[in-house]
Amino acid sequence: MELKEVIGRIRDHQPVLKEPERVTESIMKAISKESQRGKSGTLLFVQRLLAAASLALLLIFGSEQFVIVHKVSRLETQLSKAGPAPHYPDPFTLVSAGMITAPGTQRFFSAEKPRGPVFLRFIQKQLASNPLK
Amino acid sequence: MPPDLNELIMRIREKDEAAFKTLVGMYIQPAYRLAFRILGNEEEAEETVQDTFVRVWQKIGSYDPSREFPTWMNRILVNLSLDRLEKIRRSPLVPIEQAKQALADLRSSNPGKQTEDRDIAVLIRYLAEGLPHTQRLVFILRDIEGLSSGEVEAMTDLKETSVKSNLYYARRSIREQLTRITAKEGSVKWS
Repeated sequence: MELKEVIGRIRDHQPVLKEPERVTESIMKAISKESQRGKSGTLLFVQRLLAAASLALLLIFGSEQFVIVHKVSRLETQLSKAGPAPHYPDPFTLVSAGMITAPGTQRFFSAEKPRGPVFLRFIQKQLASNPLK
Repeated sequence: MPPDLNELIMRIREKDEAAFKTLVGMYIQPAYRLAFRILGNEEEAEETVQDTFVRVWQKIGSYDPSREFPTWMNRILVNLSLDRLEKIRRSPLVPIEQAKQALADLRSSNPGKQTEDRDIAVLIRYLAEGLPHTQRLVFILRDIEGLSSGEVEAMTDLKETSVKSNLYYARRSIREQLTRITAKEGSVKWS
């Protein structure tokens, strides 16, 4: 059998898609999904844009706040250098770090110099190391 | 009366799904025929046709109306078929007995009788076995589909000389393959 004849037979044979409707439906479903993906892609883009904008606003306000606090703090430092020491009126006076006593109260729990019996010193030491408890 | 292709394409560009369905109806069978002949497999051809139409939907915006739409679509189909061929390259070879049977069925069929797709698929796969994809493609497009050199060049980006040389080597290899299954009948001649 000659090659040309075989090729001719193959050429004459027209392969036919058996269920074109099913394949068409499958194609249409695929493109519908594609369209939805496009829409949800737009939505996702908008969401991300909004998230980025809110983050940018937070950064802007945060930096503004930092600048203001820094300026106030610098101003306070300058004022303290220029004028008399600030006076904090009664009723509270800072005795030492972590120890605030009201006016007239006994400085019994002092972290600086424990006094009294040994067990009392121990309690004083504990309280001084963690005054909030 | 068939719908105007340019109008359909305009509507598809505006994402009209009904227009796209009409287009699919017009081109699904020719697309399947080409995919089947390149791949020699019904299921793979069907999937390639689906992928092709989805790609057409996605890329219709880049279609240049001055070009032939079937050529543009077939170019997509050819590229997708080549990708698929690459994936199924390691599929099992067609046994020679099966190829002999398919050839016998082809010979015994009357000109009016429709040969089984399966026999044609077996023969295409057997004859194209071991051929580089480009040679296979050029052979299918030129000798089976009966396209002109210009059309093959437009679809494959190959130059005229390249089309000719690929066709020459493809025919030689296919003749050798055919000789193996018709060995008792003597050598195979091209014409």
